[in-house]
Amino acid sequence: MQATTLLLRQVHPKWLKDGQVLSIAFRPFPKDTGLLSVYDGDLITAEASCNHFTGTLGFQSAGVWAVSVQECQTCELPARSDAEGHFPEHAVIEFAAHPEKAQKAKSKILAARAEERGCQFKPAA
Amino acid sequence: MKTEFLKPRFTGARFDEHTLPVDVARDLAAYEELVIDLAKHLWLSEHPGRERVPRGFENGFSLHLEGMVEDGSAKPLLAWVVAGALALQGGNGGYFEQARDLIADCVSASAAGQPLPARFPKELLEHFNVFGRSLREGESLELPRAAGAAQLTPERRKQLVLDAQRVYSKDVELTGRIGEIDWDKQTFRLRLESGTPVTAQLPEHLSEQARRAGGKERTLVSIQGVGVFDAFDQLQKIAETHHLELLPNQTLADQIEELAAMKDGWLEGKGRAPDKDQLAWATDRLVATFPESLPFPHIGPTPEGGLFLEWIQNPWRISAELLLPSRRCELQATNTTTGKTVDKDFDLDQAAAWPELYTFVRHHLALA
Repeated sequence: MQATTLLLRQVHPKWLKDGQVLSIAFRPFPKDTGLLSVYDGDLITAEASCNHFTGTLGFQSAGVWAVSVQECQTCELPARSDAEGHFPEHAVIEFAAHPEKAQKAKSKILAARAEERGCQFKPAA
Repeated sequence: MKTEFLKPRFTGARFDEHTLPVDVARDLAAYEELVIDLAKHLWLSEHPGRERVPRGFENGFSLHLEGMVEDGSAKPLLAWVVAGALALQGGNGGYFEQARDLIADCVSASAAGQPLPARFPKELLEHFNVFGRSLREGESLELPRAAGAAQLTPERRKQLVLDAQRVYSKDVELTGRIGEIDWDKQTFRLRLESGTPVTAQLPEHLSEQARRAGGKERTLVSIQGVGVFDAFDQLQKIAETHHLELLPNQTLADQIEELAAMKDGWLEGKGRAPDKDQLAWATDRLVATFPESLPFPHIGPTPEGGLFLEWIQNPWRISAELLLPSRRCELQATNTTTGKTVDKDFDLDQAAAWPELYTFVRHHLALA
C-alpha cells in the first residue's frame, strides 16, 4: 500500500444527499471498534469493489468515493490491509487512537477530500 | 304529500358499507336543481310564446332524502315532497318526471356514444359540473330507467360537460407555493410542485392564511377546491378554494419522514431504524422552529437510530447529531482545510436549545 493508494469507500444510499456525501459515511460504526472498512484501490477497481460489496456481500451502495493513504496520514489515521478473516482487498483506516469527537471531526475532513476527488463509480440506478 | 321519485344507486369502494359519504349529498342537491331547470325548459318548450313558467312552478317540487332502501347497497331513496296546498293544484308534476327520465336518457346516450336526446338543451349540461362531481375514479351513479339503468362515471360526466363547453370542473387537492396575491381580484397565484402556475380563487376567510404563506419559498400549501380543466385535462384555474392548509418547511419534514420507513438492519445487517415517535417529535420541533434564513441541512440516519444533519459549505462541515430517544444534540463544526473544530452539546428538551443550534450553524456558515 503506497501513500498514493486510493482507499475505496462504499457510501450507503441514505448518506448520499443531493449528490453530496455526508461525513457520517466516513466514520467507523460502533460495531467496528474504530476501524473504517475500505477496499484497497491497488488491488481492485472502484467498479469491481462496488460489485463485490452489493453482489457478493449483499449490501447497499450508492457509489464509491475514495481517499488516499496520504490524506489519511495527514489526519493521523493509519491505513493498512486487513484481508485476514475478510477478503484479499479488504483494508481499514484506523480511528481507534482518537476520542469519539475527534473521530467525527476527522471523518468530516476525509469526506471533504473524497468529495474533492469525486465519485469513483456509481452503480446503475 | 310524499311520492317516491328516484332510487339512484352508487357503486364503488366508498359505498361498500352501504352508506353515503356526506359530500355525495352535494350531488343530490345538484340533481334536484337540474331536474327543476330541465322541467322549466320542457314546460316552456310546450308553451311557445310564454317567456316564463307559471309563478310557483318549482315550489311544487322538493326532493328529500328518505333513507337507504332495499338490497342494502348505497341506494338512497329520493322522495318528492309536495306541500299540502300545492299538492291539490296539480298540473306541473309531469314535467318533473319527464325531466327525471330525460336526464337518465341523456346519460345513457352519452355512455353509448349516441347523440344526446334532442329535447335536452345543451346549456343545461353545465349542471354536470356539479352533479356527479363527488364521484371518484372507479365509482359510478346509476340512474334507473325503463330501458336499463344509465351509468354516470367521472369520465362520462366530463364528456357531458365538454359537449357543451370548452372546460369542465372537478374536485382537486393540490400542493404548491403561493407566489403572489391579488387582493383586488381576491385571487392568488399557486405554483404547483411541477412548476406550473395556476390562478386560484381566494375566499375572504382564507385570506390570512394565504397572506402568511405568500412569497415564502419554504412554505407549501395544500388546497382543496374545484379545478377547471380543458378537454385535455390541463388545469386552467381553481374556481373555488374550500380549504387551505399551510405546510411550513415541508421539504425538511419530507426528508425526515422518508426515514420512518427504514427497518432495523438497514446498514450492512446492523443499524437501528429510527423510532417513528421520536422521528415525529424531531420533525415537529424542526419544522416549527427552523429559521427562514438558514439553509436546509442534508439529513440522514445514524447507525444508532438517531438523526444526522449536516450543512456543507466549504471549507466548513457543520453537523448536528440528534441522539434519540435521549434527545441530546451533539453539534460539531469542522474546517476541513485547517482541521479547526468546535464542539457543543446540549439537551434538546430545553426551550433555548433549538435557537442555540441554529445560531451555532449560522455562525459557522458565515465563516465559510
